Amino acid sequence: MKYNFKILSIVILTLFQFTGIAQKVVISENPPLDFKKERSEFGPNQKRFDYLDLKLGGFISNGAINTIPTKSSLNLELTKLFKRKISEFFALNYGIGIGHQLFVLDQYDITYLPDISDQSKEIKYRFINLHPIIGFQINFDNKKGNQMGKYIACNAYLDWIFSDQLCYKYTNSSNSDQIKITHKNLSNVSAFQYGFKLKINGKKLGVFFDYRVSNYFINQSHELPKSSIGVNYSIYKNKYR
Amino acid sequence: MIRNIVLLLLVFANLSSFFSQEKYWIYLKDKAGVENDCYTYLSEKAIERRIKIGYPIGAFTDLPIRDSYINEIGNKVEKINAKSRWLNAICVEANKKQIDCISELPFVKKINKCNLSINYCSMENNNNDRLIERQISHMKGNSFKNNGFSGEGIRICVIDGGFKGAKDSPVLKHLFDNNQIIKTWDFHHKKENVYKYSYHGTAVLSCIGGKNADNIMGLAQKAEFLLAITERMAVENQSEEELWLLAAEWADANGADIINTSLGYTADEYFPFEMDGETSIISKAANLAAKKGMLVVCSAGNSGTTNWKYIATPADADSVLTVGAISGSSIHRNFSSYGPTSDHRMKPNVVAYGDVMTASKKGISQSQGTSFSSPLIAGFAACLWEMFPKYSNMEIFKLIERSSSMYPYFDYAHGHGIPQASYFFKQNKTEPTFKIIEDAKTINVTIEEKNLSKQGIQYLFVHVADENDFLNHYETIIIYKTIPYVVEKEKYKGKTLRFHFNGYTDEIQL
Repeated sequence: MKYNFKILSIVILTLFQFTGIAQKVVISENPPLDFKKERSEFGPNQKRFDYLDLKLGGFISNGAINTIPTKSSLNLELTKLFKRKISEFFALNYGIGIGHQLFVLDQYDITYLPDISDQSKEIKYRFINLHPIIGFQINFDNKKGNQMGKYIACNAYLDWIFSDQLCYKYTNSSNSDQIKITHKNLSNVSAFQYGFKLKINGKKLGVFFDYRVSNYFINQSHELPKSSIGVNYSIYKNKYR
Repeated sequence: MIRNIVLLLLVFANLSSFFSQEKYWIYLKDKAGVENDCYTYLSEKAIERRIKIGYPIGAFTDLPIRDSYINEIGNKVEKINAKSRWLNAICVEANKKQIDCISELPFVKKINKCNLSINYCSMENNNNDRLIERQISHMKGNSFKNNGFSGEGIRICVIDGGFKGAKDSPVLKHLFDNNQIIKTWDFHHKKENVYKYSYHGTAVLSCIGGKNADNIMGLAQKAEFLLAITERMAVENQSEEELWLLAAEWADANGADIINTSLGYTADEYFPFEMDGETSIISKAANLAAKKGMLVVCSAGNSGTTNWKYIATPADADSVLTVGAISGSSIHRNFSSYGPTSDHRMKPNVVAYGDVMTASKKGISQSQGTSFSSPLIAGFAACLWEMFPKYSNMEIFKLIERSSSMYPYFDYAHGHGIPQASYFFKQNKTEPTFKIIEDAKTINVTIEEKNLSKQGIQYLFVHVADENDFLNHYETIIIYKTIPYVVEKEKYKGKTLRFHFNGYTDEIQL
């Protein structure tokens, strides 16, 4: 590297001898006269900030008679969020993300699964969606609320379900073989869902509560749980390193 | 349904109360009635240092905090995190209600919220063996080595994120073999073992006193070391300010002469205008450490190419020797944070190589960052202090600046330049290397042919200073030919223009 540098400098010098250039400015700086006026955008509460939000949680049943009981569930989302500061206390949020929802049904019931055998086991609904979101956040710590502080965010979302599946295992009564069956592109599932998301963040870590207003199933009296809670983690690089 | 939502909101409310647990520094009004325990609290070396600089033993900041105050506050809060003699303050975890209650206590002076994010000032590693020699020679470090100065009798405290692999590193073996590691403390886990978590401190230590076979990687080969962890590097985003303060107090009590800290705090908690050396606790602590006779050496930060761009804290502290990074061509390395402080003081003070060879996971490898410029200068300072043992920390600070390659010239990218050990052994008279010729409209800086080197790139440094010596503009210019560098006088009316070329500085008032 040392020798490369020497060779490079000789080449540059020779080149400039021929071209007639005498000087070249390599560093030129005008330090701020007033840091408060000229550099106020570069603190912990920037005008614009973007980050990845990773959410992990599960769905909770509201106990209503028309809610399909679930044994377990998973709500996993990765969202790219953009924030625009309006004031020290208030910021707008918007973004787009990808989500994965899994419901493992608790028990077979012909009322909400009329088309499958009563010998079916491990019945699962799986949805993968793309979700744009828009909303606002209120900063509790107005000095650094937009990225590192504590805030509460409320967003509306619209899911476009591009993959839906109903999976279950079925035991063949004639030879006792277990068969795994997967139905895709379910005709009774609506492609679009909407609802709202509430999030309380303390620095990078937070908790969320999502509520789906719409129903997954078209023209069906029963519905999968609508509320989801869990934890979320904001992923971003410290831009100032 | 409604019942469940209400329940959920209650869960949220409980969680939000979890978030309302904050850290606060409670500053106390007095230390009335406390016993002076300095002769037991301070090490012999710390007492010697105080005597040397005429700092009173048993000064207010050295006295312990009053036990009754600690107990009374302790009863009112969840947890006491730290106690600082220097600040006469207690760091606690409490909620707003508890803090309101504490603020009414008659002995409480003020209460400040605390919490910081920490940035290590280093980057990724690569291999390049040739750098070892250069990282010493650019400071003319062999002058110290050849004259037998290697930091003997000087105690350096390295405050970092971990010293993983240090014990097994061949580069640092001699420090352990010769019992030069005096004491260690992990302030995060309150344990002695610091040889874990991160290689960053190991790399930093190797730039102060490391040795690869016969090649020294840092100048302070015989210095003694105190190693402190104040943060876990893997976590990175969260840290507690009080740990650094406590580490500095610990360094003081254990007789440290020099503190090297290769970390800085920036935008997660502060705005650029707060880089004034007075806002952050860590700056105040660093200044207090200097007041007690320790030389605090700190990296400028690696924000040069980011939006933040300017120095971090505690590099902004007045009495901290802030070190920036230069590249192989001896000018500002792009990642190195620029000065000045927001109150227009010159920073960095000096510069050193930012591309160096350090101890690493692989044994030895190339590292980049102002993290490593700082320990190179800490090693330099140790040798200088060994040479001038009667000098105070601030005299050493000034000497380092004075020995630098561009002194008395300065700018906010290079400070006074690279400290030169040869300055202390043989002071060459500086001959003019250029002429300033003034006519009615312009200023022409002419470099004579004999001063232009045929090999390597040479730089002309120019700055424009106002009446307060604050730089309005500065440039670094590659000079290829003797054709004059021309400045229009009208543009800089009322300002001072200073030029520096090949060790010579001259100025003109317009």
